[in-house]
Amino acid sequence: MHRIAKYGLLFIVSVLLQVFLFDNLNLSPYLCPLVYAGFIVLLPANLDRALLLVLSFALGLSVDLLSGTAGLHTIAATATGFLRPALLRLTVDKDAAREGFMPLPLTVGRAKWLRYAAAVITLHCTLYFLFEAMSFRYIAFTLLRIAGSATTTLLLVWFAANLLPGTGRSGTQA
Amino acid sequence: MYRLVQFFKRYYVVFLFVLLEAGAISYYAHSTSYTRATLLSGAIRATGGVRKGFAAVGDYFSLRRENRMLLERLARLENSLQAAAPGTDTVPSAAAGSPYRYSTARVVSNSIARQDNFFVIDKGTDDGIEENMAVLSPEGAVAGYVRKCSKHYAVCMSVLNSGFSIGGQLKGSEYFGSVYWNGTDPRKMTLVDIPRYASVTPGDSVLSAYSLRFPPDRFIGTVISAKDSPDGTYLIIDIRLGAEMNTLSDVLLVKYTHYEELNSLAGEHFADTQRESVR
Repeated sequence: MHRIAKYGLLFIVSVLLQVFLFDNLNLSPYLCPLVYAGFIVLLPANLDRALLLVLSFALGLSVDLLSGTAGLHTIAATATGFLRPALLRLTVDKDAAREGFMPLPLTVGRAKWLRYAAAVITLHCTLYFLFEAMSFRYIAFTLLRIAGSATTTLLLVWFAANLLPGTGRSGTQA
Repeated sequence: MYRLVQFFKRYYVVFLFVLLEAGAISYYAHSTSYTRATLLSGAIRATGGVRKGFAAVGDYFSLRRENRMLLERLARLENSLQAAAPGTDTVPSAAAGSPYRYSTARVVSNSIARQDNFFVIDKGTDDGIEENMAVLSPEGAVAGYVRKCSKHYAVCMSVLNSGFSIGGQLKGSEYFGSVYWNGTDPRKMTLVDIPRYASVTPGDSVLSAYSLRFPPDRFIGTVISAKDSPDGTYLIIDIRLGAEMNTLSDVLLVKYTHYEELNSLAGEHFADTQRESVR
């Protein structure tokens, strides 16, 4: 129950931050952080694949509905949710991936966590910006957008993950 | 039968993924700028109040700049009024016969970082806003047009939208073409269809011309550079956008009272509608 409440709150906060803060920053076309992807990064490692998929879909759909984009966030989030277990197995060792912890820098190890989060976020940003461009005409521009946005997203998620309570020992129980 | 059940048990996540993803992609692929504006106007109905609050905070930072701009514009209008009717204080009656009606609104939400950008203003059908009204920035430059209205808000298609297009003319020349955004730099637009033999120099002004929604001779931007099109028949001209889309907070709305009539008679012949129909 505690865990559901925690993730429910995380879901709402990440959607609201995206829609009301980061979508309105308009810093530059090269820096559009998609912070809500952090929710997919932080979902429990041993979560059922179907549930992970449905939660990712719901996440993308919420952002889409609140910001008025026609399915773009849903496309990226659903695919990221589907591929996350594979990415987790590839970047973090298999034993750790089977345990029920929230993937946090302190529980996984800093380097491994960064590798894992970078993989998930880069996948998400790549899908989002490729589907947004819908063509390879300005591919250099799109690649720069992907690189810039993925980097800022990773930094923000890294920052948030270090702030989250339940790190260390208690994190393994949650 | 048992093996079939086993098969489904094993791969149902994949089926679920394909189903959800296919649904999302097909919705996205079939969406037009109109459905996107409709979706956004629904979202604004739910989140408009909060967005308004954020916009109000942001406005304080641009007050000085906007104030200066308004004064400059007032001075320019004063000058043209003097030129039109020297020595009188009354507005010339010519304005009463003009088919264009002006009003103002405040921007509640804006984006420049997407490929299809829209912005939202705090006036809707209750305030007399209608679809297809032209939107100008405080400097008087082309900024977009109203795509969809609700009672208290209106969603406007920004010039920074792949579906936006407007007829443009080089100031002081007869040549005209159409202006659109190629989806990359939010400060630049592209003017095409100007013949190769036209003389174009950097710094030339590009004004609206033969537009369905916009009044003629409104500032669009200034020429940065020109190069030949791939087939060599016309020029591709990069222009610096006149409207500062990233700091847009107040806008001027222009209603063209003959829009419906002109659109139903000859709408498809205007540069404004050509890209729209492609999408």
